[in-house]
Amino acid sequence: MTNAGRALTAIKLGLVSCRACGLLSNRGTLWQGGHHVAGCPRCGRPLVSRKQNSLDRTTALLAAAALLFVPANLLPMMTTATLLRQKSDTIMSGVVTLWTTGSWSLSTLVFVASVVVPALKIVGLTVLVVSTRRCSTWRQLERTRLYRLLELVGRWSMLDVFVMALLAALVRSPLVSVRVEPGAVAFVGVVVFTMLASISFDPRLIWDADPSPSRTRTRTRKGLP
Amino acid sequence: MSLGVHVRNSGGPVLVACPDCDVVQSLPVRSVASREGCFRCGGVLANPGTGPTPSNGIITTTKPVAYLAAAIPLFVAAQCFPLMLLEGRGQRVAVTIGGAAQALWVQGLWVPAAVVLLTTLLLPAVRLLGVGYLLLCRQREPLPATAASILHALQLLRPWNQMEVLLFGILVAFGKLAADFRMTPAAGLPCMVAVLLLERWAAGYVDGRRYWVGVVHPDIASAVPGNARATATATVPSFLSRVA
Repeated sequence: MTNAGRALTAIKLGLVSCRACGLLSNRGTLWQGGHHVAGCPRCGRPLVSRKQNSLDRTTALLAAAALLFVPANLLPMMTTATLLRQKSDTIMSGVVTLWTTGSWSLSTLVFVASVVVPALKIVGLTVLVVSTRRCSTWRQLERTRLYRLLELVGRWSMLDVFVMALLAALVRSPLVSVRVEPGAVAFVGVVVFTMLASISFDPRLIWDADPSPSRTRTRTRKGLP
Repeated sequence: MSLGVHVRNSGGPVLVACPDCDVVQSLPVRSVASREGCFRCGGVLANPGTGPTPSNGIITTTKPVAYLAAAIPLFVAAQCFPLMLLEGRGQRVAVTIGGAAQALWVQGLWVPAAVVLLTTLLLPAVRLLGVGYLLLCRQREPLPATAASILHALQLLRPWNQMEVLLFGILVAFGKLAADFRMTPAAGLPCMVAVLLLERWAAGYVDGRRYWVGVVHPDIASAVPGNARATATATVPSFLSRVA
């Protein structure tokens, strides 16, 4: 996109897009009670052009998620107790057990949902936050796509929590029982914090980075009339 | 700079900003019924939703209300009836969503229990009621001020509605237990699938742009010369009105 830095964004035009109804308007147009109120002229919701403190919030939530990621993967999630023996499973050993018993598709599903997706979210959001903080114009399109991907897949990490709850509710006879271990709390924390982090990140900040003057000049000479 | 004309002219092309990259661009008229992507980043500018194209700016919500009316009792059934049955080794256990959350709770895992309850029981219920309220709102003449707040709240809560994730969770639980026990799906499962389909269909009507076709703020509407009807509705206490 040769004119990426030159495209007219709403914020440059002094316009705001309403988050509730999508209407584009200039700020402070809502005439209410005899004075201007910064609200959407169509639906009345408060107008903000960017999510507030987006990068700080995302960084904080991301740090919390990254910290919890360690115990979530190292601590056992579930203990299956039979009369003869007791077996504790971490996320990975659960995946391996599924694999060795022959359910490869389910094993892959659990592996992707509870290991790959949280890790991808933490790494991906870190890349997004760092590059956006540095006002980088590097691969803005790919970064936006990455954000959309993270937003799409994030909620599916909750899968393992539901599986544990179902197993704990189903398997509870004197002969065999399933107990959920505190590692599950850390895992829920990872999922919730990564979801909150991706919700609080504002992808429009990626495009707010102005290209440096020299690069703008090159672009103008090369790509634009 | 004033873009008031685009506010009033709900049938024509409209300027919008991309939600992902903020580039201002015009949305073609047809986009009420089609999915439109941003030219720069491919972000979704307009979501078509479901249902017929409102050519005259009036949306009839009779059908989605009917779908939703069917979804609510099905949702209650999906919560009350067991989702799956386990038989074998001298036991027979049925599990509901509440039972699954309770199993976590009694083991002292309050946070995961609360998350399970919120994401698969409470928030889906809130969403069903909220969508129903919004659909009923669109059937009456002045759109109440609460409609916008409720729609916004539903948008924010959308990622925390995870009944479809639970369906995959049930699938994995089947796979894990099938080796040792006899597993059978129970009555709640088809109910849950039906609720998801009906809810998705009905919510298409209130998603994004479609819901706002023809909605004009009375203060702006009354400023349009000759718009007598809008001027009349501007005196109504609720501060939003619909202009046909």
